[in-house]
Amino acid sequence: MIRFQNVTKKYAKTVALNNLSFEVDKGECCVLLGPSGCGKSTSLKLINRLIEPTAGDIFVNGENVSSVVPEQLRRSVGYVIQNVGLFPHLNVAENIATVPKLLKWDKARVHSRVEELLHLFRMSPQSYCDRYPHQLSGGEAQRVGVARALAADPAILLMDEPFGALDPVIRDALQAEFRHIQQDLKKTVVFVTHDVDEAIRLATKIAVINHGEIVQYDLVENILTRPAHPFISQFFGEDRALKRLARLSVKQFLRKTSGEATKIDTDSALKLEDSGKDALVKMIGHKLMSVPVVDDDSQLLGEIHLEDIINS
Amino acid sequence: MIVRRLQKIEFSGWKSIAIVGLLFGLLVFNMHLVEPLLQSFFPDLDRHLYDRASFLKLVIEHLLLVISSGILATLVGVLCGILVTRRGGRDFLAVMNSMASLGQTFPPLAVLALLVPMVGFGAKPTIVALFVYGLFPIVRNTIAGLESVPRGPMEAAQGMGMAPLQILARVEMPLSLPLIIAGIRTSMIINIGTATLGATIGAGGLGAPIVAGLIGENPAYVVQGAVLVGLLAILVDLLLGRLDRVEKGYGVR
Repeated sequence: MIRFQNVTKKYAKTVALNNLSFEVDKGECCVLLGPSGCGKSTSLKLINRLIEPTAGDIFVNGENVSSVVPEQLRRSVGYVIQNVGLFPHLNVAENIATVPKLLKWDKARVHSRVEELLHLFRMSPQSYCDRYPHQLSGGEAQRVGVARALAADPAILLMDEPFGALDPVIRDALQAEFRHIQQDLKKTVVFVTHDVDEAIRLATKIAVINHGEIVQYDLVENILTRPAHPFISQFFGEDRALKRLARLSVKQFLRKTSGEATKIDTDSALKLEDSGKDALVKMIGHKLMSVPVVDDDSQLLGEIHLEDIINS
Repeated sequence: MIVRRLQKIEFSGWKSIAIVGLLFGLLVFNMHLVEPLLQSFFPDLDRHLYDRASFLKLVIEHLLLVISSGILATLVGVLCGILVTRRGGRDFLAVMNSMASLGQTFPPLAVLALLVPMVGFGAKPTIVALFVYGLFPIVRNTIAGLESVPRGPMEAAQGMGMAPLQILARVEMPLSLPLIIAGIRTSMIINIGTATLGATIGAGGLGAPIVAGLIGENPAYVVQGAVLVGLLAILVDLLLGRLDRVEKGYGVR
């Protein structure tokens, strides 16, 4: 869907990106991860031609972006930036309608799309449509920012540290919401961040970039279990095994119980949507080698054993 | 503290506009009402009321001078401000700034003196002089307004595929409008005062009684012209101030 082919970007004397080649498949969420100034944001802006490469080619849908009119290209690609960039003089509905209006959709279609998107982000159109950006909280503003990027239903979504300026609790909620929405929409996402946890949480694949070069580009699981370079082990930290566990569902470790259903009621029990990390936390917290897993009605489903987690 | 106190004193809302407007209208149509007052101030004068033209006519002449030069200055000033903040025109930003300020340091009376031999007496040279004099605040505020547009919306607009002209029309202009209007307001107020000079070269307006009073040694005439000019300036300032506030209605932080 998106392909970088030997892309180099130089500014005066410094090399921002050096011979970058990678590919993002349809429906994937590719996170460009690296320390600040590593060139990840530059890479993102090359895709919608906010920056032009010094050498190399970028293909979107098999088409070289340099052959597409920049404005046309940008209207077909969703774009979310860190400082949100909502238009302060336009209300929420008008902000979301920006690209549909540029594409000259008729009024009714724009209107129904705006409502649809607000519903998607669980914001009621009645109370939000007429609000101005300064009347929104940081989290609400960024939701509108993402909704605006999705307005014309682009196949590709570019996100430049979209949750970077939010406080941890709201960032957490928005990440969860984004994951949820992404599961339905299956957009091809390129997501820039310097936050390792965010990358692990949202990515299908991570491209770790340092000094303008890709150090490793692989599935999250592989990067966590088989870091290709000391820089990666260092960047992801000693606790990367824990971070990996956080991505795994308890379903993967579940030893199902046979026999009739029993109802148990204990606060050491896990739910199916919990992660491997949650399981470990319960085990340590309750000093147990195994913990039960229950469904929403507290019916026992099975058990998680410490040895399974350690051997995973 | 001082600022807060000043705000309390400041005229505000439609009430003050109504009061100033009423006072202005009263004097324009019924200057004879203040004749006793003028007589008590200047008992030695034979004539106290300026009667060579109706005050209404003078006010209209005056406003025509200010408005026509104001429209001209707004069009040219805003256009210049836009041009020098574009990518291609940025090199001229400094030049434009100094040219516009030069225009204001140049005394309008000198401009009139230079223009009369070229275009003759009357309204024309006055309008040109007022245009030159009123250009600076508009250019300066247009530039300041456009430069103050936050980066976020600009980047978003570009990233969402707006063409440069669309960014200008839909993002930059609306966001810098409050500052541009403030510039127009300053320009208009300055020129309401400056336009009295037009009377020296036969452009009429509220400068006429002032000039007649100065020549004929009749301070009563001067007072009538000056009071009306002052009230007109306050009235226009208040009205444009309202416009300014309406523009800020969306509440940019």
